[in-house]
Amino acid sequence: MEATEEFTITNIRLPRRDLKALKHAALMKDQSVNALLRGLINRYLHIGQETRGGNVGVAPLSIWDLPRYAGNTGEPHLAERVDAIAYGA
Amino acid sequence: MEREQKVFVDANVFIALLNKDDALHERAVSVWMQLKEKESRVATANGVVSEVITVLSQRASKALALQFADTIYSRSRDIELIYADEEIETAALGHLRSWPAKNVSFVDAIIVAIMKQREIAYLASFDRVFRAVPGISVLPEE
Repeated sequence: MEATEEFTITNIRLPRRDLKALKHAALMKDQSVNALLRGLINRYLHIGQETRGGNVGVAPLSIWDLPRYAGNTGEPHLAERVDAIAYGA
Repeated sequence: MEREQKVFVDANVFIALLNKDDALHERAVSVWMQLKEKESRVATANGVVSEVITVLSQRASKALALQFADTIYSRSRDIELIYADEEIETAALGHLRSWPAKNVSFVDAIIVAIMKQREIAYLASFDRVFRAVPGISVLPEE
């Protein structure tokens, strides 16, 4: 999410058990619930297009556009742990 | 680095590029923008693509992994995808045997073999093991 992004506040109605689960997930990722939700929303809107049924398999115009498809994962060390994750090294 | 040089891209750069939360994301974007500005010709290997898809799919999201795969497999003009054949794998085994470092994968050795065979001088990678390999200049520079 860009630092210059304009934010707004909204009320979302959701089951208590889901909020509890979200708080737990945020705690596990050492994030706030707000940050976790923004990450999930960002992922859905920008890279989870097939989940929404639109633009399935559409590739960016160029390889140079790859950063536009970046999403929040809550994982700060993926790039450093390629061998560990891919090969269990 | 001169303009229009060919640069091999390692898995960790692609992963950092696509993961906004990665500690290396900003550095990866910076490297990527530099390559774009210099109109570099980028290349990678099928083994690298496999690593990126596996890591993103397992730890980020399948959607992100597939977005990357779609981009790589459908944009051959923008990036050269090099498939390791028997000759490259044989050379890679030789590199693996002579590589003093312990923490190298066979894909790392394949990267070196491809770069030597194709005479690619530059490698975009955050993996320090490549910095000791003669004839390979690693980006970003330290």
